[in-house]
Amino acid sequence: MKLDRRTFLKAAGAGGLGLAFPEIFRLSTSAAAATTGDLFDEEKYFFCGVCDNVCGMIGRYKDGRMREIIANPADELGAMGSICVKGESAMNTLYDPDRLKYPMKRTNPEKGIDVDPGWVQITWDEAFETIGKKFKEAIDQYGPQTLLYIGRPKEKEKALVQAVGTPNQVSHVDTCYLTHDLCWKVSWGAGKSWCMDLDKAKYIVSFGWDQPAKSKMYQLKGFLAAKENGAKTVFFDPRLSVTASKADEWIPIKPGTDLAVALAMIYVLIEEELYDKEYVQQMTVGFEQLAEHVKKEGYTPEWAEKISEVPAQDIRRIAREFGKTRPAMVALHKRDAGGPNYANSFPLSQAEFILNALVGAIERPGGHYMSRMPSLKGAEEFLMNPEAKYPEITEKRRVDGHDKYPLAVKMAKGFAKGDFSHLADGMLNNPPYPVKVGISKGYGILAFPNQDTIIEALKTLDFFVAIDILPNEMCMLADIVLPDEHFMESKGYEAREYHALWPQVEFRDGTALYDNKGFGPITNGILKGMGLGDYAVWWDEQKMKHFEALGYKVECPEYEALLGDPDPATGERKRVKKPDQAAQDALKAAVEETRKKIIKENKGVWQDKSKAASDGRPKPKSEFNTPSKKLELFSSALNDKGYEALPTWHPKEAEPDDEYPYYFLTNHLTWNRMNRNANDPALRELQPENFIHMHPDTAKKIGVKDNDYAMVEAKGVGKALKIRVRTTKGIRPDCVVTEHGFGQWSKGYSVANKGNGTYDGDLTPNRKIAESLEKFKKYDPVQSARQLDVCVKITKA
Amino acid sequence: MDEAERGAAYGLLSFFFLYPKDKHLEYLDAGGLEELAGLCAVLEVPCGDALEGLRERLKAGEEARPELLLDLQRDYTRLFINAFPKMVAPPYSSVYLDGKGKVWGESTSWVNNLYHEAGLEIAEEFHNIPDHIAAELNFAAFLLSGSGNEDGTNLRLYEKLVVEHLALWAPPFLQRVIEGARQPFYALLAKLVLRLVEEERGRLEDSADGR
Ligand code: SF4
Repeated sequence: MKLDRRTFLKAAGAGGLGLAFPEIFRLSTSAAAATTGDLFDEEKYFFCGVCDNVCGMIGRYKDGRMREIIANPADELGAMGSICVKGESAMNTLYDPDRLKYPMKRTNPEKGIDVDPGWVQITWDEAFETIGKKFKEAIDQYGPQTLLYIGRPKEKEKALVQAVGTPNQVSHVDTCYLTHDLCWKVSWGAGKSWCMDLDKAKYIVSFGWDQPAKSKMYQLKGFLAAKENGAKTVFFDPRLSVTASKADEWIPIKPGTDLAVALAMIYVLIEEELYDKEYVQQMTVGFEQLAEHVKKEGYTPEWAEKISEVPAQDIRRIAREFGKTRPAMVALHKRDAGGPNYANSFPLSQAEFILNALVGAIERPGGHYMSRMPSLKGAEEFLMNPEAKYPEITEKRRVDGHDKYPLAVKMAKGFAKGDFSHLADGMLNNPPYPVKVGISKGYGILAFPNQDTIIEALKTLDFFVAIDILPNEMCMLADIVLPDEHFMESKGYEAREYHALWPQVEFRDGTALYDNKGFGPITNGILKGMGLGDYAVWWDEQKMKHFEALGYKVECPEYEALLGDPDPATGERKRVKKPDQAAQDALKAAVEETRKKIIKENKGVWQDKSKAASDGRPKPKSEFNTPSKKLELFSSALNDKGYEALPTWHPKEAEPDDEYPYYFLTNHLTWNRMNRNANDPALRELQPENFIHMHPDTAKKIGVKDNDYAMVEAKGVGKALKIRVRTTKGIRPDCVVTEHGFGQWSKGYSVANKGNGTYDGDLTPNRKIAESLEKFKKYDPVQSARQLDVCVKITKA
Repeated sequence: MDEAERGAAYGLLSFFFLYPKDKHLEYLDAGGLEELAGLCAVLEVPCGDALEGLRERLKAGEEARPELLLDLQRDYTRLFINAFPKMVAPPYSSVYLDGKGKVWGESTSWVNNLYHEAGLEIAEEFHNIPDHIAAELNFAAFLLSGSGNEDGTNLRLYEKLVVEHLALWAPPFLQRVIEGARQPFYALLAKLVLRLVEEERGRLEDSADGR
């Protein structure tokens, strides 16, 4: 090539590329953004997407950049005046350069830890086309069940799964709240207790509840207010959790024996007639059977002492205090002892429900309320083609084996929420049919127990899509990676479920930094790519109906033109035509205008306080969605499906032996959230790695001291983790505890890609469907994940 | 170089700091390679075999293009978007200037305001942060293009852009590209921008001293 400066200058003279490119710039639509002296020049409403407390927030901007986040004062139910460190750190994640920005495909077909995917950016069109083609090819060959969907059981997610017709929607809930959820569903007819009226309670008992320390704002504030109001708090926990350390009594119970203590408390309440007779008579069924059961089984405090090592006199005293102080409640939540942790967690959850019912702590001030959520219509009513109906899912067998739990399936209205613990087993060992393609939204590999097996399982897929905001471990295994919206980029809204003492819908008002998309458009894009455009959901139509339910009419003549004649009976006009692009655009604009109006008029939080009584508590329900319409102490739903209808003692699965002498516990740090904010250097600095916490006597016995490394190996798992030792007197000498939220290995992170400690799930046994089914056929209708039902040995590293 | 030439240089470099697509190959094929080579000569940056390598591959015909494009895209993605093991060179000023390694920092707002002062704003289609290197280079090209510059405002803004901003973050950023690029093309582009920005800074500071 002959080069000289003239060649360039000549070309430059032609001026081909000397102007502003329209793909980068446009003429300014506003006057020059004059920098004001104010600290902030704009405020936007959000609700937090880090945890389910969904605190209302206000993002304060200066010159286009969010500078701080504060609690939205309009949200009296969630944030209650402040947000937590995780919510604040969301801003760091939003502006993290490692964020996923564009769809990408891998160019290296080999997958695994430490394998470079060789990503290249692609367009959304190419992504949807490729995904649609791959999914369709697999489905044509193997049927819709060949698609595995890993994602939360939410509406947009379900829209995709239902249109395709696969039974395989799998979420993490078995490792989270499913035990409580199903137990409360059969007992009071709704999901688990989402609203605890903590501040009005005068006596709070808990079996491992530590949510205030996880900074779930309403629980933290409720707990502190209860203490302020003079409530007595009694915590059963093998370790001194942060919440337990603030309690009046910490009782270091033996792990997995809470059920014995709960049963003995029920025994005392009944024997000494300390229960709320009037309430029990009016509101519950099954008291006689319960009374007979605990008597016949001999669940006395003396019996429970032998199992739990809690002195009988303490159990008796606490039961008496609990029965005599009103209002009293057993606080509970997700990952406590009644959560997914032990072989007997389900009956424990039921015993906790019964304790609450016996003292009248359900649907009463100072107790547990059902969420008062507004009813907003589901996606299935808003398909693009009004004549389209979701296909019937003919293949009922699920790859995670969850179909074998009839009660779970029934209670989930046909859509079982699935099972992370058994998915790998289902995929790897004689799956009921070939599972060839998959998609995962918002989950990392480290959300699964036992990552080695799930990695192996996901590698068996021919084609796999991961959707997330950061390049986590799941993305490393994907063929196509799609950039989700960070919640501060979303324009979505959500009805409050946690602590919904009255109906509340919160709004977000963000804009994407890059080419990120929310799951609504992604669902539609994939469906269109698959040739299933009729099943795409017209989200704007759904929004319109939702806004109408909140009392805001959306005016759109182009939409009206799609409606049929009024129904003679109801006068309602249904849409009968598919919208063309013009109608879609018109409705989009109209909906957007209404959205802005709602946000403005309601300061980001629409609410209907008229649904609450004058004290701000919900008007109590006296009828429940159970077969008897009452609170069922004896569960007819459990009974009908052949499960034990009353909580019955069963031991936990793993007990210490000479070789594996320690119980294994895990804990979340206040600031960690499911690996989601693992890449935030500010949080990483707070604690760069996890510790194995043990009693000083235990450390001495093992021959380790603070800051030494120890090898921790779980029985029957075969993996040993090297973890740094911390000693504390706040734990039973036969237990050790480590923190969850460490051990990231995704090389896509710049911060959390090495030296992040270890992943506790590596010590959770790989659960087998057939074994769990056999073991729990009598007393756990959700095949408990048993995440902490494991013993470990520890040696000096 | 005169203003128009400098503007053209920025424009050319900005174009290639956008995500590589067919149009980039077409442009290279239709004289773009010569333009780049000329710019190397003007800026006295040895172009090594980066351009020769590209020319060879472009000459190999239509069938070889997708592979060439993929190679460029793969490198662009790992340099500037997401990568294993971590993005090589985040192409945003705030990462280098604002101390916290985040995007959308103070310096982003600063340059964004400068765009507004010149009557421009980031187009929605850009789907990127305002201080992206391609935007800043393109902005420089615009400021030097002569349009709307009767009162000298744009030249004043250009001086600000280079001296107070671009010259501060471009060197550490480009150094990462030069060291980390697998495709010699991107290392060459980085060297060209580095030289251009440094020369311009020198020139503008000299003339400011003169004033
Ligand atoms: S408690 Fe913290 S993480 Fe949870 S929603 Fe509120 S601010 Fe977000």
